[in-house]
This record gives sequence, structure tokens and C-alpha cells, in this order.
Amino acid sequence: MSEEPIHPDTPDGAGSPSNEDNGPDRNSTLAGLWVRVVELEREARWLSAKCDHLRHSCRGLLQTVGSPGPLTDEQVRLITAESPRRSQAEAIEEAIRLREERSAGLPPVPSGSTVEQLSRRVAELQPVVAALTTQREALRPIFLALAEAFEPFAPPTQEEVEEMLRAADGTPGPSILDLINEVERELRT
Amino acid sequence: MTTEGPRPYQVVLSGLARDHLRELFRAAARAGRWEEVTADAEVLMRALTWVPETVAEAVVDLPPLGRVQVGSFRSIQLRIAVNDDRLLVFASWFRLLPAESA
Repeated sequence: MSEEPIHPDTPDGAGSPSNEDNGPDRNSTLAGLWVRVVELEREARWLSAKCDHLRHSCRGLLQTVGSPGPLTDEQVRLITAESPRRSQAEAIEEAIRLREERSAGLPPVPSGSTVEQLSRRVAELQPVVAALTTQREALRPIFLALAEAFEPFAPPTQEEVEEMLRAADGTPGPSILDLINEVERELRT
Repeated sequence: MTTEGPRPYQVVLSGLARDHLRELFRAAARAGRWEEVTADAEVLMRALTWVPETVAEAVVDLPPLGRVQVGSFRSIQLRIAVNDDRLLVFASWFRLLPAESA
């Protein structure tokens, strides 16, 4: 799967499609297709990062609980046959980049784009997204089964729920980084 | 195109979660894994702040907290609840995974 954008983003104002015979309808079609291309590319990149992250988590938990644990042979094969393309930290960074891109909105339609090019790109991306969605849907129950085998799930108690809601509305307590510093000081004494 | 960046989630730790984390860091130090585990915790904090859905899978909706999720990042297994409307991540449970799993 290609994760590179097919068209480099053009600077603001440089994105008018260059069509000799374009009317408002053709521009509207181009704009709609461009939205679809960008959304599909972003979705493919997010799903790819998510699948890599899940695959790492599943592999780690499988080692912890012992193979095959709660999994079928087919599920074990699914998480071990293919190596993740990124580390978990890289998958997180990709997801953060995508969130920033989504927040920035849509890049302008690349200059010179045609309806045919964008339609072709949509057709290329749709099966990629479908395949990654299927992969994510297969990995999700594997991860949850392994997590359950590691330690059975129990929802937070009512007391915890109330405490967290109070903390969200009031002064936040120590953060994870504060706790690292606290334990580090404790270990030095 | 807008220029505003994405808004971060606020990560709220329950008292139990803070106790879990203290014990997790102490256990990491005892096992000679302090650098590894604290580095993982820092990346995890960044993930929870910006993209919590990337490190966890939804298990059940628990209003008014949000979606309760089970997740992991390298040496750390966790349970959180994500409230997208209020941009809050409630963390309630952490465990240290064995070294060979990370």
C-alpha cells in the first residue's frame, strides 16, 4: 500500500484545477473527489498505524500469556506471520501527525488535477481501506482476548468513577510525569 | 484552511491508577528497567493526550465517564475511559508487562 500522497499539497491559492472546459459542475465534482481522496488516504494511514500498534501489543501479550493462550492457531498465525512495519512509538507519532493534519483541514485541490485522476485514486484507495479495516477487525478481538487472559477485565468501581469525575472538574492531581519524578526522588533517598 | 491545532485530551488519573503507577515504577526500578519503563510511560502520556484511541480498544460504554478501553504500549498495559465530548481520558488501571513482552 502506498502511503505517500499522490499529489503534493500546493500552497493556498494555487489549487485551482486547470480545466479548459470546466464549469461550476466540473469544479464541484473535482472538489468532492478531492475530499474523498484526502479522507481515504488519511483513513488508510490511520488504520495502518493502528494495525501495527495492535500487532505489537498482541505479540507482546502472547509472549506473556504463552502461545497459543486463548487464541486459535489461525489467530496466532495472523499476528506472527507478518511483522509490523513500524514500532509502536512510530505508530503513535503517525496518528498524532494525522490528527494535526485533520485539524488543519483540507489541502487545496492540486493544480492540474482531473476528474479522471482523482476518480482513479479513489478507486485505488477504497480496497486498501477495506483491507486494512478487515485486518483491524481481526486483530481487535485477538488483542482483547489476550488482554483478558493477562488479567480479566473489571470496570472501574462506582467510587472510582465518582473520584475521577470530581478530579476532572477540580484541580488535576499528579500526572504520570509527576509520579515518575516522585518515585525517582523516593528511590534516591 | 484553518490554522488552529488539535485540542489535547486532559488525562485524569484515579487514586488507584496513581497507586498502580507508583508500584509499576518501583517494580521497574527493582527489575533494572527504570529507563525503559519511564520512557514508555512518557510516550504513553503523549499518546493519551493526543490520540488515546490509537493505544486502546473500546470494551464498553460507561456513562458519564465515556468509552472504557483496554490498551497497551510496550511495557505497560492499561485501562482508560475516553470522553470525546469533554476531551477527557480517565485512567484507572496500569500493569507492568514482563521484559520479554515489551
